[in-house]
Amino acid sequence: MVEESQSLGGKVITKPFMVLAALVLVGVILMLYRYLFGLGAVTNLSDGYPWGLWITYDVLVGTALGCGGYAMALLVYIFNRWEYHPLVRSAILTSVFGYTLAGLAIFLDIGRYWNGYNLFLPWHVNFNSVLVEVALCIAAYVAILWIELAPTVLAGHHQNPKAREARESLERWLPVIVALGILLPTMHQSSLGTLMIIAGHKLSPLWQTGLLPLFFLLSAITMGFAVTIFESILSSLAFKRPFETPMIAKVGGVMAWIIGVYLVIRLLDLLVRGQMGLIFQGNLNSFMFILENLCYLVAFILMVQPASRDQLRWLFVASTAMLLAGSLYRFNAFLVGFNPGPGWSYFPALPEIFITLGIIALELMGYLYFVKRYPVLPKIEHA
Amino acid sequence: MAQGSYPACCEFCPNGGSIFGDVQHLLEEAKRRLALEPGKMAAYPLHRVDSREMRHRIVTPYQKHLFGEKDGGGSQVLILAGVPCDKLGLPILPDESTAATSETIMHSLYKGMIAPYVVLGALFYIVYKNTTKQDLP
Repeated sequence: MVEESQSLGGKVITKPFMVLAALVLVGVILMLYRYLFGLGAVTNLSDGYPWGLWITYDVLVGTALGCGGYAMALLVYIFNRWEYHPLVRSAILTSVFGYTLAGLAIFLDIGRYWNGYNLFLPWHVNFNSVLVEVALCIAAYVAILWIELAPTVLAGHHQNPKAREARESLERWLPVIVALGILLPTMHQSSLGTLMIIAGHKLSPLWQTGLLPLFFLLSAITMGFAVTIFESILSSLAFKRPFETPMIAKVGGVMAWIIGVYLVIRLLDLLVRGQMGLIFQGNLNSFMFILENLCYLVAFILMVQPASRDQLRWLFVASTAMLLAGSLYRFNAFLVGFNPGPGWSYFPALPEIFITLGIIALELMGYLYFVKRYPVLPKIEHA
Repeated sequence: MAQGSYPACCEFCPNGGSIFGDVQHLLEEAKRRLALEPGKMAAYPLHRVDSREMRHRIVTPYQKHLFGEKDGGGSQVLILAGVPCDKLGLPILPDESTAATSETIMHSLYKGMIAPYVVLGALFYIVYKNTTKQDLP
C-alpha cells in the first residue's frame, strides 16, 4: 500500500484555533439559550418566514459546500479519472464537517425538537413529503461520509495492527460505500430544490420553476468542484505547501462545462416561461438575479479558458465566484425571492447569526485538527 | 366550532355577504348566485348557508369566476366578487395545488424506491469496474 497522503503535524492549538474556539463558545451559549427559551427568543422567524438563516445557510449552503466529496467521487470513481484521486481525501473531510453540522443544525431549527426522533420511526413517517426524503437522505449520507473518512483515520494509526485490519476490510466494501455516497447526494440535493416547488406563487418566477431540482443538483456539483479548488489553494497558502495547480486547474475546466450547461438551461427556462422581463424591473429580485448570474458568468469565463485558469490568481477568483454564485442562488430561491404576503418580513437576528458563525468556526476547527493529525492532504513529492 | 359557533365575520354580517357552511353547500349557493339574473329580486341567506333568515334584494352582477372552486387545487373559502379577484389582492393560482405538483415529482422519482435501487446498482457496477481495474493506493 503506497500512501499518497500525509499528515501535516505541528501544533493543533494555535492563535487562529483559539479565536475559532471563542466563536464556538459564543455559539454554544446561544444554542443553550435557544433550547431553554425557544426559537422566538433567539430568531426573527415567523409563520410567514418559518425558514431563515439556519436553513438557508447551515443546511442549503452548508451541504452544497460539503459537496466536494460528492463531486470528486463522481469524477474519480464514475468517470474513471484517477489522476484526481489525491484530492479526494481532503474533499471528503470538508464534506464530513459540512454535512454533519448541517444535520445537527436541523435540530436547532425544529421547534419541537423532542419529537424529532419520530423521523427515524418508519410507521410515523409521511413518505409523500419532500422534507422527509431530504432529512433521511442527509442523515444516511452523514453516516456514509464518516465511513468514507474512516480509512484516513485508521491510516493515521497504521502501527496498530487492528487498525490496519479494519482498514483493509473497509476497503473491500469501498464500491458499495462510494456508490451510496454518490446516490444519496444526487437524491437530496435535487430534493432541496423540490422543497420550494410547494411555495408556488410565493416564490418569484425568476426562481420558481419545475426545473428547481435540476438547478439545485447542478449548482451543488459545481459548488463541490469549486470548494475543492478553493480549499486546496487556501490550505497550500496556510500550511506553506506547494500549490496543486495543474491538477486543480483541470478540475476547473470540468466545472466550467457544467456551469455552461447550467446557464444555458437557466436562461432557456426563463425564456420559455416568458419571465425574462422580470430581470429588468430594477427591484431587489432583479438585482439579486443579475448578481447571482454575473457570479456564474465570471466563474464560467475564467474557468473555460486555459489561459486564465492556469494562473493561480484567476483560479482562486473563479472558484470564489462560483461559491458566491451557488450560495446566492440558494439564498435567492429560499429567502430573497420568497414573499409570503403582505405584513411579513425577515432579517436574521444577531443571535441567529452568531449561532451560524459558531457552526462555521466548529467546521474550520475540525478541518484544522484532522489535516494536522491524519493523512488527509496529498503527499508532497520531493524531487 | 364544537359548540355550534362559527366565525364572527359571518355571525355579524347583516347582508349575507359572508356566510358559513359546508363546502358543498357553499358551492351550490355560489352557483345559484352566479345564475341569478342581475336587476331582479332574489333571496340571500344570512349568516349561514342553511339559514332560514333571508334578505331580499336586487341582484347585482358578479364576475363569472368562483375563486377557490379550482384555484390552487380548490380551497375551503369561496369568493364571489363584482370585480376581478386579482384586483382584490388575491393571488392568481393554477388549478393544480403546488403540494400536488411536488407530490407528483416525489412519486414519479421514488415510486417503490425502484429508480433509486436501479441507479444504485448501476453506480455500484461502474465503481466496482473502475476500482478493480486500478492499482489502488
